[in-house]
Amino acid sequence: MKKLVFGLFLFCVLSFSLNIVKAEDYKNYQEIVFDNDEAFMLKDYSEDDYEDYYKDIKKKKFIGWKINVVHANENVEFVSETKLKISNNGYSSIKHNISLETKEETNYQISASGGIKLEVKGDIKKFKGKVDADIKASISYSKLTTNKEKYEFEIIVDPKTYVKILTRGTGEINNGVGKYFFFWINTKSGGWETFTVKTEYYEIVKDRI
Amino acid sequence: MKRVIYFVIIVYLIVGALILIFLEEKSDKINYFTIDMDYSRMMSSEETLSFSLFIDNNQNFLIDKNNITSVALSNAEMEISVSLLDLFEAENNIEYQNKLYYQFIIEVGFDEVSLAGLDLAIEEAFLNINYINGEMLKVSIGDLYLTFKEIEIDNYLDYVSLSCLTEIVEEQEYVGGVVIKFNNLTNQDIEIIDVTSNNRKIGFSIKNYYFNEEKPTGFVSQIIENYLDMELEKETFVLNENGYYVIPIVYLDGFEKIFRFPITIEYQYNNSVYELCIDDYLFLNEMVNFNEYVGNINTYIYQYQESD
Repeated sequence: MKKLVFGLFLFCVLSFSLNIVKAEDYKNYQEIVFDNDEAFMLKDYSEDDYEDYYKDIKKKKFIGWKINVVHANENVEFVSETKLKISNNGYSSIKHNISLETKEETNYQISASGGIKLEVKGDIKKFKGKVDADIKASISYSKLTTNKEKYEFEIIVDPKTYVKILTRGTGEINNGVGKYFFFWINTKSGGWETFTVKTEYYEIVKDRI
Repeated sequence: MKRVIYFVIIVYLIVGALILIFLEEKSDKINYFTIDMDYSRMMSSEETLSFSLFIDNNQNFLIDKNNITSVALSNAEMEISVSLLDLFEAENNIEYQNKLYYQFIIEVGFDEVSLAGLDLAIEEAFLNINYINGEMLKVSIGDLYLTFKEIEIDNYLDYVSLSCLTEIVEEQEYVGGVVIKFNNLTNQDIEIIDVTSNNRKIGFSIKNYYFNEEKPTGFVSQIIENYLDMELEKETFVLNENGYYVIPIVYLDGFEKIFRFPITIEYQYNNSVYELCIDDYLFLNEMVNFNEYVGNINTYIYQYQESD
């Protein structure tokens, strides 16, 4: 009898798999579409783009960063990665409790290139050094947040099917370049980008394996 | 010389007094706030509820679980004892009206009283937290619609896609309709009789549903005419599983930010009536600047009692 119970338990464990996608990077989202056809992401800047945008920073500075905002508050629509996928390879329906949590680091993401670097403090990514404050000042950054809550949801997964939760949403992208001056001499330069989620829409899809 | 000494002493006394007043003010007052939210939930036996308390001091006796003797949910008509399961800092600092607040999550369970099968509506609810020193915090939390019921496996009807379409009203976004694709698990017709939620502020106007084989996109008013003037109208229909239904949501007291709610689909199969219950699903999540959310925020001040 014990063997039978253990066998059934093992069968249940093996026949059911859960795949939770960990911390996301907006650059890997399935799709990001700008409302403005002329806007584009930092990763799509060409060498010529960088040259042009650096040239737009005409005034030099004694010490510190000068920022050129190329694309400001550009609205985007995105389709992110699959949040979660549960498969049922067994022969009977199972009930599963899904738990999702909104993470601050997903709501506000950044990236950089060249002489602008990133630093991670806890779960929060920042531009390294004073350039973080300079960029935030240039784009009128105001922190958006959500009432952080754990979402629990019970779902039935039929045999030989999977359930997945997809996310799409709207957000805002700012990007541009920056130059650092030391005694009026440009010593480093690079690109920066911020991505802020405004709204996320969730969709459940059930399909055959 | 004497005058200089007197002057220095007076300046010292004034500065000292100001520092004492400032320190006193800082230490004998705690500012905290809650947000009125909508809690529409289908509660299984083990399920818990979590409420947020935003507080400007993260080291005080109010947020120490060991100091709490009991917790209850109440409104003008009723009070229900709940058990305090957890109280922890969510590591989510929020700036509200130029002041930094720490978010604390209060998790409660419903094992104090037997509620199985009950459909509870506690509108304009408060969370009452009682402390060992006889103090009580009574904070507004919003509206609670709790159905104590287990999600059961349905052998006849299921869904294969569930999402929402939204509507923009006065520059604010609301859930305007539920998009659902069904799966008829039988080889006979299934008739949809009604679609409902436990949230008393919304209804589903199933007579005005929209159907398309392709998944609809856009706002509800773009695909369902007169959506903004729609009334709650019911009419049964025979299910077609080869496409997507948009069931429009009617807000009975005006549009409100209700993003998460359970759905019950009443249907008829083989001359019997059944219910397909869908757990409270989060259809959308919005990021906000708390300073623009003032209407739903309840601010409080806790004043320490002077000891003898």
